[in-house]
Amino acid sequence: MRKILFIDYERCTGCELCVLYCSFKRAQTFSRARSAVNIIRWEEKGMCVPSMCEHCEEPLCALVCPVNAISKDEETGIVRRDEDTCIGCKRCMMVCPFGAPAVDPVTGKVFKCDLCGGEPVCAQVCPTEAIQYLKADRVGLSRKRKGMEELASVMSFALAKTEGGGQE
Amino acid sequence: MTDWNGWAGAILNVDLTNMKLSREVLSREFALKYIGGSGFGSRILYDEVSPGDNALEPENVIIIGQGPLSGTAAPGSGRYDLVSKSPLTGIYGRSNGGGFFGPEMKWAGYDLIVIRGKSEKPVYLWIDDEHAELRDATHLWGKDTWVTERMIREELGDSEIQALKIGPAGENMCYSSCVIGNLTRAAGRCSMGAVWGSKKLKAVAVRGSGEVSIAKPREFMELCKYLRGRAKCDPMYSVHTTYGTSAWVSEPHLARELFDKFGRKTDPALHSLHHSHFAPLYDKNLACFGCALHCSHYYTVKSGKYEGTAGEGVEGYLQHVTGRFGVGDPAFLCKYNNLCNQLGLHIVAPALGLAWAMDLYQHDIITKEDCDGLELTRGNEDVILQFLHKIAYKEGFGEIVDAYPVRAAEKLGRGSDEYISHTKGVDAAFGGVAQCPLRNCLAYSVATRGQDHLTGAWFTTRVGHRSKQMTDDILERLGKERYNDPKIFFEVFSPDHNHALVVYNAETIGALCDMTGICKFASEGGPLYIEGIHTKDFAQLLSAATGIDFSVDDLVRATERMFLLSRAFNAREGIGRIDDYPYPFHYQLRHSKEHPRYDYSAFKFSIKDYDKVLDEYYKLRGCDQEGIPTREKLAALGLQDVAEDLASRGILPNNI
Repeated sequence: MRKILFIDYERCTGCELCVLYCSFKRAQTFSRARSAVNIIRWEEKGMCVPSMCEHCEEPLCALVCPVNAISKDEETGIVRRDEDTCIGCKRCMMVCPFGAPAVDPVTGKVFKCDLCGGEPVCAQVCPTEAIQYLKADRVGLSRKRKGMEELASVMSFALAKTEGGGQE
Repeated sequence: MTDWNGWAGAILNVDLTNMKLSREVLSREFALKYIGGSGFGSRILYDEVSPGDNALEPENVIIIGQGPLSGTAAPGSGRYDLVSKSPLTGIYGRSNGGGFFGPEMKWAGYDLIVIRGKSEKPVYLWIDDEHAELRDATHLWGKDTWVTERMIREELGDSEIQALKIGPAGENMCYSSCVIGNLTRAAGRCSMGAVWGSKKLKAVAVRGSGEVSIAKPREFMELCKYLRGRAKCDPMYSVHTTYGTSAWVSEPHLARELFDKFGRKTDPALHSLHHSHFAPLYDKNLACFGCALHCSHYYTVKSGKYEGTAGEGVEGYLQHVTGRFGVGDPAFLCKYNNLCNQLGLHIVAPALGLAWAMDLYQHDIITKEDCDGLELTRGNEDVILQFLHKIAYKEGFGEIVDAYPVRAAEKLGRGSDEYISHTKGVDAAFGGVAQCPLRNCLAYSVATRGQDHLTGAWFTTRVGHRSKQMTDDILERLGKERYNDPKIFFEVFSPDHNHALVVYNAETIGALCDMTGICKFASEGGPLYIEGIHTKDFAQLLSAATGIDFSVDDLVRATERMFLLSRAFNAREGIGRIDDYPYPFHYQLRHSKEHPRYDYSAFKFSIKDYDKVLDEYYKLRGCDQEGIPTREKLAALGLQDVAEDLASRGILPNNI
């Protein structure tokens, strides 16, 4: 089963541990500019959302790459960029709706999230599980459960009333 | 790129008088000796600001620092540190804040920003990696902190800019003013905002695309992972990550907050506030940079008078101080918090001043006319909020409240000085001292920036009035392990335990946090007093980060330098032993009689008991009976020049 990165933005505290660990894994250093994940913040609204490559099913970056350096791995779902093939033209940066490809300020090359080859460190270190790496089908189900929680509590209350007892 | 690991390797010098900027390479010797943050700041302040200099004149300096661990994966690496002479006290002033500014400054390539002189017109400093400039801030002057940040980001076209800024309170050079990072990340104490205002410096905005390079990356990362994992084992971890500092409001170890500053019981209605009351207002947890503890919250008030109030906080001590207002409504506290943050007021300072004014009002020392026609009674929420504006704009009676404690009482007269309480000109953020453990009282009082709960008077010295997670078994074990004294955490009022050492250790770990750029809450001095970062962990972290082999002893000596520099700075300003006593004792010594308003019978220890622990503390710190660093100790720490300076001023004898 293919796995996906799932962002539960309501849980994100904006701590940027994902950023630190990502830049460390990529470049053995701590730098927001060298991390493939960034936290986008709207402080006055209390919002913070981790943002990285969405590993699109039909990646525009791959479509516009003149040297076919970007490809979609059908098995893992990873949209991968080949370092040796990439000529650094930045076309991918032009078309990506999420700003995922970025230029490494030190190497000058384009980089983006590659899901750490299938073990994304951001999901491993996130202290609140705002970033999770899950089997694709589990995401939908867990969101469904969350959506139904309120209904479930109302229903159990109603049942308890109508049956004259039941569980708290 | 530099060849530095941990440190960025550079200082930005800003001369506001001549509008000149210059980059200076950090000296390795300086870095090793003073580590960073508050260590750097304390040395520069000592060298550059002379005794008697007015804190609001161009002679004062603003030193903004972060530490070699700032911006790394070390737990809680998001702090910045400010050092200036404090306008409130006229002595050593220092303040520390969280958020995201510290790491951004590191990434821009500076360990220190030193701002001197005074600008003619309002300016702000804009640092964009190697490019730095002073920009006109006339259009920002008068704007609140939130608007200022928004305008700076818009004007420079970058939403990721981090800015420290002052609000109207700082512009008007209020004693209650502070510097604000993000929405709520205040460097609150010691009136730092007023220093910025006096120099017409509205903000420091920074954006960095650099990095923090690490000498031994693998080793460093292993340590960070280990420390994060260990922190989770602490009995306080889950409480702190859920409620943050607001959990303290209902912890039994704060029982003394139920007494007022004079040692008298306060209104029982104030005791009803429980941290769970904040839960409906808290939408989510928020964190500073690099911190898994996420002790802050985003709140929205959903209904009632303050509906729609939204912001970040709320800090535990706000709830205690506003307890003195006689208002237990969490929604009001959110509103109060927002207003303070926007106006650039420290949340505690105006609360202490207003609580004092309310006492005066209650005792008919001041009337409605004095208070500009407002009824300054406890529980009067509207008046409290109106007064925040009056304080920030120095309007009417607000100007007197702002100057609390010493200057306010001097300005007002009428015996109002009987109602103040302070050490070195600063009142306590947390309650009175009468019911404190002896060592907590000592730590409050010997703090060099004035009465302070963050220099040493924090968790390690407070254990004893403990939270329910800290069971007797744990405390007994901790006492045995750390002090070879199983009773030390229980017999907190007895001078027969080595309380001075507990204070010394608490100060050491706190100073290490401020010098390296780490949050105190991540260390063993904070809520995680069992599994937080210990001194030896700091030695390992720093060694791995910088590639320089730091021993525990090296670090302890660095913290000693910082403390002795601040003590020497204060000694030059005439501060001595009498200023290291809690207020009721200080008053007794100064006036040779008991303070008329204190209930001395409520004290669980005597002035003699206090004298004993104070002597022990001075000995540990390497100070003489007056609290002044000895020549021997200064020499042993490589601070001979400080000894010579003190001797030339007649503070130390000329030779050994």
